[in-house]
Amino acid sequence: MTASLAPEELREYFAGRLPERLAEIEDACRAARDAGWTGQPLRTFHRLAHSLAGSGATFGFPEVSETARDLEHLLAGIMEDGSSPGEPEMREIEGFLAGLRRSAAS
Amino acid sequence: MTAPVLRRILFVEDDPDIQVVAGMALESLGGFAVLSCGSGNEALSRVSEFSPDLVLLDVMMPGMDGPATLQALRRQPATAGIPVVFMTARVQAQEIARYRELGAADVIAKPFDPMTLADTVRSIWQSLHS
Repeated sequence: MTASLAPEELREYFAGRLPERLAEIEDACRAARDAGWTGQPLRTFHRLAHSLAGSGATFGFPEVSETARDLEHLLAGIMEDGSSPGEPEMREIEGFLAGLRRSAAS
Repeated sequence: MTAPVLRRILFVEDDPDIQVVAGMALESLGGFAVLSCGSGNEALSRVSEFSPDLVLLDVMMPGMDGPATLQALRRQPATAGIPVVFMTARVQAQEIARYRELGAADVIAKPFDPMTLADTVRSIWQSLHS
């Protein structure tokens, strides 16, 4: 729980939450991959990326919102396409997750 | 005749961190009474008891999403007239048009500035009653 709405308090609060949120997204990525990039696991992965995109900047992490938004859009394309991501898309997904890990570690 | 005062907000949001910051922003900066619900189903089960003046509703939620929750509110006579404002990171023009067609009074974009959220909600309320 953040003590106040002061920017530094919000950043500290969210910095404490990021590792757990990132772990949730990485679990969702594995589940989506294991489910063949279809169905509820893929939708959950997409929703979690969307949620992080909508929250990062609110807590003073605009780079988290940007990276999560890019991931969200990529996943939306995969959902629309209805086929598994190829090598380039997998590298992009890993790149976005690596970016989020860096934000969580900083 | 003076416009009614906005006092009670039902906030429907599955993201626990957004619940925390928006709840604080609306209560401490806006002076509103806020009931936070983590899902559309929870909101529907508690809306009559709380009797909000306005509903602030996330769009993308697991299970019953924002649009489905709005439609359910519109189907109940007791809640059909409560203005609903969506909060979403999906703010493309065609999506906003769709939300309005569904009956949303307005849309607030995410990410939002917690320092101005209460003022934004109050402005929306005032424009609804002007």
